[in-house]
Amino acid sequence: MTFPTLLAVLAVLVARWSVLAALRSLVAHVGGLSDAAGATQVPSWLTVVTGGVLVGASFLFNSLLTDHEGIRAVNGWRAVLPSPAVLWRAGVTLLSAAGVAVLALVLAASVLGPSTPTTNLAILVVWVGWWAGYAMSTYLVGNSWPAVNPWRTLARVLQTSGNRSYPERYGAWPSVAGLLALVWVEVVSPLAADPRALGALVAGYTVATLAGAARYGTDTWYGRIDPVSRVFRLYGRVAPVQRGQDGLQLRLPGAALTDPGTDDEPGSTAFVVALLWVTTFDGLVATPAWNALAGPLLSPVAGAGIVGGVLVALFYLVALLAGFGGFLLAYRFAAARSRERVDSFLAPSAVERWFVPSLLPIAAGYHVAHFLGYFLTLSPALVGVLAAPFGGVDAVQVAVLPAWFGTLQLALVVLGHLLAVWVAHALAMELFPGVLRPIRSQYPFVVVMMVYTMTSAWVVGQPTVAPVYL
Amino acid sequence: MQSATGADRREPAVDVETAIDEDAVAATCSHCGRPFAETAARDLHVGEVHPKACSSAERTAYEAAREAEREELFYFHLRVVVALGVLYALTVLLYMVVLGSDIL
Repeated sequence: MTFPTLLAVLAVLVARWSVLAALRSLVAHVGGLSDAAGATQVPSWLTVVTGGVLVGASFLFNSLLTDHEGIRAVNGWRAVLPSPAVLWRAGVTLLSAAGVAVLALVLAASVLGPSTPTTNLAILVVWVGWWAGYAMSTYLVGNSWPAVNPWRTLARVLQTSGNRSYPERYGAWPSVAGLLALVWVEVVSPLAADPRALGALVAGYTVATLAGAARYGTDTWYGRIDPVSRVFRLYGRVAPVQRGQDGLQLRLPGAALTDPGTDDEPGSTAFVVALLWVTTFDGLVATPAWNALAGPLLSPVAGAGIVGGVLVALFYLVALLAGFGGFLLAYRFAAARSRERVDSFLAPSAVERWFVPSLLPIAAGYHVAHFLGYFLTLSPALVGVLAAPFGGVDAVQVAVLPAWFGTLQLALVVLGHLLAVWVAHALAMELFPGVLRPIRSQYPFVVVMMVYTMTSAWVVGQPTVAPVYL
Repeated sequence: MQSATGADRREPAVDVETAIDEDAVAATCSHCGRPFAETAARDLHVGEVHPKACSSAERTAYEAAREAEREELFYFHLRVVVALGVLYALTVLLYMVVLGSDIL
């Protein structure tokens, strides 16, 4: 059983509850005083269209905001959070110790704990606590990963001094490959349901990352090559709490995205696009539409034992890479059209790099829409298993989400896009001269964003099913 | 054009494309060398990004370009407000039709 299957089980539980709730409310309504038409459900196509309309309307509204200094003042606003050095060091040490402790606990529980996924501490901590909950904190609160990262702590403690120079031309491409590989493994393998396999992966990653840090140096490895650290660093730029020169600063959400960027290396743009694509892909493969598409293609090979399994995995890999390529092309196309619209002589790659931070709120909005429900539903199970780390939990406790949660998820996707439109507007104002040229430069991006909002709203609104043949 | 809040325009250090068609370049910024396809664009750029290094001629050109853009912007904003109003009305009507009947 894979991670999306777990979601499917929960979705059935939620659906059953919400059908009962709907029936109850229907009976109550029919017996009520008002004979007027009852509350009609908004059809899903209308919800999707509304999402697109909201994004388009927000662009129109933003084009009324043309005061350069005003935009800069809003984005630059900051409140310094007092962080005395002693407190800072103590906090970092505490977080690092906690990170290492959790890693040790996960490795131990993967071996010693029960094999049912929903009662195993390793599965719940990694997928619910870390992949869902902690990742949400990096863009909702702030990026604490440089402190929490247990492998970084271990690399520092082991004092592996690597000084092999990292070739500049590789840039961020190894981390792009690493991110795609990690997501592919997570989708096609039973890692989400088999604690032993998860433990093996965590152990394997530990070895790989410590070796990499030993070879290239801790800062280079975690700053440029490790995909996980890069993901959290990028998510952290959306968060309100930022690290400034004098300690912590409080900014508006997404405002740090308009700061002068330092991500100039080749492939850094592709990484952001990859991050956006993998969050979409994770949700896309768990939809009935995907199964309708992939099922007939895979049915001839699916039953053929090991070879069939490999072919299925390869199929998902091809889909992952094709989608990534498609997203990259779409982004490049939008940036090229934007550049042509204002008759700019800037290099196309420079324009792409300049606007790519505006994609991060979209990824964050989609991530929270996708994972907030999952996290809330399984949080009682996580708390329960923390009390009994190595087994002894008989009944899995899950929280049941209210029926309006689906609408909340759609709202979060749209909110991510609204923030992205604002960030892109602010970025355009800094790149192109005047006021009309920046506004006109946004037309292609807004069209792409509207299409993407509607598509991801549709994906989020779909019932979750297990991906076919996995 | 120093602002009261000190929120100065930072100079975007962006690369210019390598193969530029020289005929298409109408003006170049004398401070950073960035080419533009329209003189007005260059004038606006100089005033916004290099406010302290402007000569008085450049400042005059910047003011003129801003004035010309201001008028165009006003009509653009009028169209934006109308578009927002129409979009809002259409959305509300769409919801009324869909929720109130079986037509869609």
